[in-house]
Amino acid sequence: MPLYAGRAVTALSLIAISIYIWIVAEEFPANGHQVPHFTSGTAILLSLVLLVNAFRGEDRFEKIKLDLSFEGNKQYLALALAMVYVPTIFELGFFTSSLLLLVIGSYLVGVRSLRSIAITVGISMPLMYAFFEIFLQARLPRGILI
Amino acid sequence: MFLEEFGFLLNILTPNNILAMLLGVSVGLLIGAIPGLSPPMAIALMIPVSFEFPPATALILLVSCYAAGIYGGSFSAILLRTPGTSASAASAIEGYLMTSRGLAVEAIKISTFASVMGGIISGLVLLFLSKPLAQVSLWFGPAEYFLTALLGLTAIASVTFGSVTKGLISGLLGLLLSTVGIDQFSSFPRFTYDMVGLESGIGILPTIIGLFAFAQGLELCEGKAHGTISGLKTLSWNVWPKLSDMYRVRWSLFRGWLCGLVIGIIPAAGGSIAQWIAYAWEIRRAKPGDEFGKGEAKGLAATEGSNNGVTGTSLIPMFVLGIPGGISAAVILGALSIHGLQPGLRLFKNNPEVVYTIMWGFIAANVMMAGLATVMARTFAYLTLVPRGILGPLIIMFSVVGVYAGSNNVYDVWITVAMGVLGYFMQKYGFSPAGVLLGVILGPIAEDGMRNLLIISDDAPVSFIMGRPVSLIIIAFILVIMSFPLIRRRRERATRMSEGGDRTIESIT
Repeated sequence: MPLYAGRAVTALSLIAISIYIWIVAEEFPANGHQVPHFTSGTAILLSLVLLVNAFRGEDRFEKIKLDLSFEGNKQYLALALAMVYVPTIFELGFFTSSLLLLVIGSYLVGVRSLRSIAITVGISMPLMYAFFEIFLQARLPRGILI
Repeated sequence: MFLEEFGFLLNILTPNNILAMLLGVSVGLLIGAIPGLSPPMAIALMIPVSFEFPPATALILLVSCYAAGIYGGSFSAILLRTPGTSASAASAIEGYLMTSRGLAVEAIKISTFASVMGGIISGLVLLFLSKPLAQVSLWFGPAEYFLTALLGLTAIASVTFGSVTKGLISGLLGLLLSTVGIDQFSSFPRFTYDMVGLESGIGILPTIIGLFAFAQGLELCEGKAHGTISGLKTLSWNVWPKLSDMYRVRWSLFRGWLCGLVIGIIPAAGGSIAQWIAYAWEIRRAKPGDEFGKGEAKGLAATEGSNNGVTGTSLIPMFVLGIPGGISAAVILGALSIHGLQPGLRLFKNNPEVVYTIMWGFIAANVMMAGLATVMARTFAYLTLVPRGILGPLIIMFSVVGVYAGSNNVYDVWITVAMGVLGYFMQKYGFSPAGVLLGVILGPIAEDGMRNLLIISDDAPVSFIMGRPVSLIIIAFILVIMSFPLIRRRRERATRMSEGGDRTIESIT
């Protein structure tokens, strides 16, 4: 797909979202619609500028490159892990799931030095416990473990 | 003229007061540096401790915590692009870019000098000019609040590198996000989609941590896992700022301090607005050779000077009028009442030894901050040598725990994750996460101001504003800031044309 098509799709999506927001905000009482109308109205105008610019850039005919390699996508693995991590802290407990996040996360993104991972865990976990649990008394989530 | 104020200088040299300053500065630096934990939280944490001390010492503890908390937020902003507080978000731009160019220690030096001197100057203004300057706060009504928020929002156009259109769209998105939740005027839920977690709105804390810290964690997971942020393997440990280093950025420092001092006096404005206006002003003053958007020391000097320049003057309306200049000042105001002191001119008349000792304590705490900060900066700077593959998951973990510890709300953790994904893709495709943050911070101030303005002006806001000189001055500032990108673009075009002309002449000869 050429770049101009991608940019045009982005601009048209922004316009569609803005129109939707305008319609939803119609029902807000006591002048509550004014800021949403201002933002969506201005966003439509600015998106039209983006749409016009999509067909004017010197690089508009360049192809969109999709990187499907592991190196190019490992941040999404980290994101997926983080999505699992958040509910896990309430099931397993904050410290156990954080330990797993650090070990699995570092390994997933390419760290192969177990020593480095062990040092990070060895320093960060006791510090976190001392600071949040003892000093701040923050009562971090606990599950079946700590 | 100022003999009364000087009379209380020696009061701060008691062991109790020095201990209070040391404790306040240490806790403030530590908590401020951790994303998610804010200076108001540090101050609130110290209130029970302050019961052990007499009122002046107790308040010295709290104001020390406040000053150091704002500065502490800059460590993580500069070194990891994860601002510890909303007042250090702008420093994450130029500061982190300096770090990625291997200039972490230089950035810390500038930050320390700008913050410490900004705090001291702000403290001196607080000490000597409290009473006359407090009157300025009384000039601000809904129209002025609305226009001040608008002034902050116009900074988006100036602080956006690359596409200004994308920068403005980012700001609008932030404004829109600020409307999510129960409308406080009508109690009508806006954009909540029956989700309980959205009813209280999208807070500044999850927004800032998500857009900057969580997104940065994801970004660090890209690329070579064993590389470091700065590409360096060792760091110079000399983090003491030298006056000669500061000479190049002297005017930027001055502008930053001035911005902070003035904006600090306006209630509810604070460091979050001051730093963006200072940054926009600095970009407006850019000269050929300056590298804004690539790690420019002048930008960092201005933002760091402004956010600590605010600290002292934001206490002025609190001490004299009982109007807090920000959340931290509101917490300190509460502590003032707990210790049996009522703010107002009577406080200056009946308890001058308490009020002036607190102010001297605030100045001394900023001096002490310089010493303690260099020790902490060394430890924090070491983080830039940790491999990216380890730092990424570590920052993701800190983002989650920071938000949870700060709000005890699981919905805020999910908002942080969503903002993190948004921030990551915005950064990747040339939109501005800083614009979204600015919109979220200023949105409620702008909307409340505008709706109050509509009520008190009987739906005729323009004629109402035209009759208020302070509003007109702010409008003039807005117009000046709006012209920044146009002037910058014209200047860049002129530079390109002259370079093109030179090349043509070279090719002919």
